[in-house]
Amino acid sequence: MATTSGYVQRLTLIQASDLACVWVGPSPSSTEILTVLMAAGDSEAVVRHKRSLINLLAEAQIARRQVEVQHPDDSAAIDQVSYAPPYGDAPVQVDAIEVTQGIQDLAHSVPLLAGKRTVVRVYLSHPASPGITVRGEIAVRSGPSDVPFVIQSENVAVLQPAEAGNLPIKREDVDRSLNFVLPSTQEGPLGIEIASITDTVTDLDVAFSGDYRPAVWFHASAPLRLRVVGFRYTQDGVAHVPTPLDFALLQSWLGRAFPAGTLFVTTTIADATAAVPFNCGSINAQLAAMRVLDMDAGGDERTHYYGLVSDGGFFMRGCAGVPSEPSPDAVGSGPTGPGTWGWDNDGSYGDWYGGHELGHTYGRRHPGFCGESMSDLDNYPFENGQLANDNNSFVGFDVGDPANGIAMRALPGTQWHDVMTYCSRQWLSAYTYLGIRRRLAAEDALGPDGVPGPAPGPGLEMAAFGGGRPDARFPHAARRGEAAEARPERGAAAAAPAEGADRVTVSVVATVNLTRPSGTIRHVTPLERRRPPKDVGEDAVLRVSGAGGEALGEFPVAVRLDSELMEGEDRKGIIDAIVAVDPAARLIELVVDGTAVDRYGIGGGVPRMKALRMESAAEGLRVAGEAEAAEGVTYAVQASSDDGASWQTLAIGLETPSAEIDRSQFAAGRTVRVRVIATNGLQRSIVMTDAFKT
Amino acid sequence: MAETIGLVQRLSILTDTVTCVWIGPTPDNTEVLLVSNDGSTTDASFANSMIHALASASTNYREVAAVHGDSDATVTSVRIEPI
Repeated sequence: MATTSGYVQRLTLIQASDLACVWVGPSPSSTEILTVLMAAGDSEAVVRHKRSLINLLAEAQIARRQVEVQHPDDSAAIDQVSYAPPYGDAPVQVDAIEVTQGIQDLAHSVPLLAGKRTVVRVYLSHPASPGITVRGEIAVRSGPSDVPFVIQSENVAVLQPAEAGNLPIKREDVDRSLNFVLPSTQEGPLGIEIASITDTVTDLDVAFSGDYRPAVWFHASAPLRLRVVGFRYTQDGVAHVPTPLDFALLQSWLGRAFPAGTLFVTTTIADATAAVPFNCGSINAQLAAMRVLDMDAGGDERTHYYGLVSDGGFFMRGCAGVPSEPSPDAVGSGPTGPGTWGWDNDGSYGDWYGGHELGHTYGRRHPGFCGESMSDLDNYPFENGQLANDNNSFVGFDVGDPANGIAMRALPGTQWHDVMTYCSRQWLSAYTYLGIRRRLAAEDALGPDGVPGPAPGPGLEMAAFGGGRPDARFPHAARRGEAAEARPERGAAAAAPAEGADRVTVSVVATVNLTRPSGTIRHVTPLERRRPPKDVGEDAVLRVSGAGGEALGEFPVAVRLDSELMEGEDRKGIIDAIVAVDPAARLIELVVDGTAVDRYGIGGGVPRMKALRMESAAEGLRVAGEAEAAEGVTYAVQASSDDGASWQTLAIGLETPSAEIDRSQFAAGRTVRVRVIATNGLQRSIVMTDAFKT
Repeated sequence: MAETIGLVQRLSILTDTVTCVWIGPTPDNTEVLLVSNDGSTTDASFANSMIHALASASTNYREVAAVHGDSDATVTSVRIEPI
């Protein structure tokens, strides 16, 4: 008998002849071809034996474990197959290789995402005393013809004989594995093998056994689109604003913990319009009004908005909307500051706190283990809100962020808790990670204009449904086409449908307490683009009337309740509605439980701006305008760095046409325009500055 | 003959002779193919091994190539390439 050893490099199963062809060898270019043939005359026992051979070979190929295949000297027909002995005489054993991007188990059941920072952890044992200290190299490649790319370990590991084979203790300590940071990953496969292990004392390579070469797949992922607004407020004469570190660490944490390979994050600072000490509902209302104005001016409808509030003056508890369906318009806000909460020592807690509130905006609810509401108790899979039930399954892993001084760190699954709890030591469990990943994908499919399906691209018109190669088809195209027919175009107000053509599309944002009942209409903004009604519901009513009190319409609307309501607390939330009102309207009333709880005057003549200029201010720029005095007029400030293709709101609800602008939000050397919108809630006028370089 | 290459996105064993396999780059962009056998012991066992390999590839996100007729969804061979 002959023995062929190596890896199963290729496997082909041909059903017409019930023949399995197996290429076995040390590398794809150095193999021997062997076979398993199920013949018609084989007994049932022989057939079962051959099936076991094929199954074992397939498993070995997928797991990339070495095999020993026995066959006659003069034949390629396989008689026996065995995995190569996992542990030989070599001093170092390879216990496992784990590829992690934040949360993972040894079976790699959490999908890996292309573009996301990735760490390969190699777990080694040295059973003989004394222990040794090693460093290592791995080689990675995406295909058999690729030149392997060699990566050095980030650290050295001390292999203690007492810890030989103890995987849990190694997985829970970043220093007990050799850790390798992969270069930027692309969608597709990646093969990993250990190239060398070196004794750091002798500087000599050490032999190792139990080697296997895992192959993993990096999936495409939907990007996370986010605009972070830092809210500035003044209390007792002192201005409070989130620090650059607050912004940087929030973005860093989302990149390390959230399931997205790409983050599109923009930031700005805006003055809070609510009186101090405001609550998160008021901030969310302002944020929602800013968002709708941005979307009206060319923004990507899939962008989430989050408000950061410094705790320098007072502590604003955070909250967010929790949409059950993909709704990027759900906004959230929360506090930030240097507090450690007993476990977070990176200098800003706004990162994980923001992750919690943003998790709500992606539909995640509270598991209910540490004082938070029990809105997801039945579904959460792990005890006590932990990342895992025992130390043999999921382990969190912070891949680190050298740019912000964040070190790699293992996060034991029984000691760390899900970010949607109120427990200490927060990270994303696999449950939350996969849930947010699904929601991100669903939101991504909405398209930049909020229409389901991928945006049409070159060649779409040539692609057919149900035929051709899978990667050449666009199954969403039909759905998208149908939706597009019903969709108003951007800037299409002039080409309005016959019915209601004279109506004005208006955004109404209000804070509401359904328990009292009470509420305040915060912002009423006419939109340039005609849009369908939004947030229709039965929680409250917007009642519109004319100058003489004549009824001009009633619009039932939904209230998006705050995420952090506790049992017994008033049911508070915001209305973020879009309605089409009669141009003769002069009043909008907010009706809750049959009672008009607030009223907001609109219309009555187009507000006029007279002049606008840009000035240097202490910490940035100042836009200063002059306007005719008019009652009920408010002002919004927007900036564009793409020559007016889209505009981002920097301030809204101003009583005068002046605002300070944070210069740091613009990349250096960009050409920027600033405009001020004056509005009476029904009409608006716009004055724009000349373009200037930042 | 046609060849469909991609990840095994879904696998459904329907009867003792018919299994459906969805292969493509993403879960919502796949081609549905059939693994069938003629009911004989050898053919059923071989089809079982083919399904086993497809299932293993699916759970490990390993790309497969399935060969079938140009106008026929029945898989005639499965290949798993090296990385």
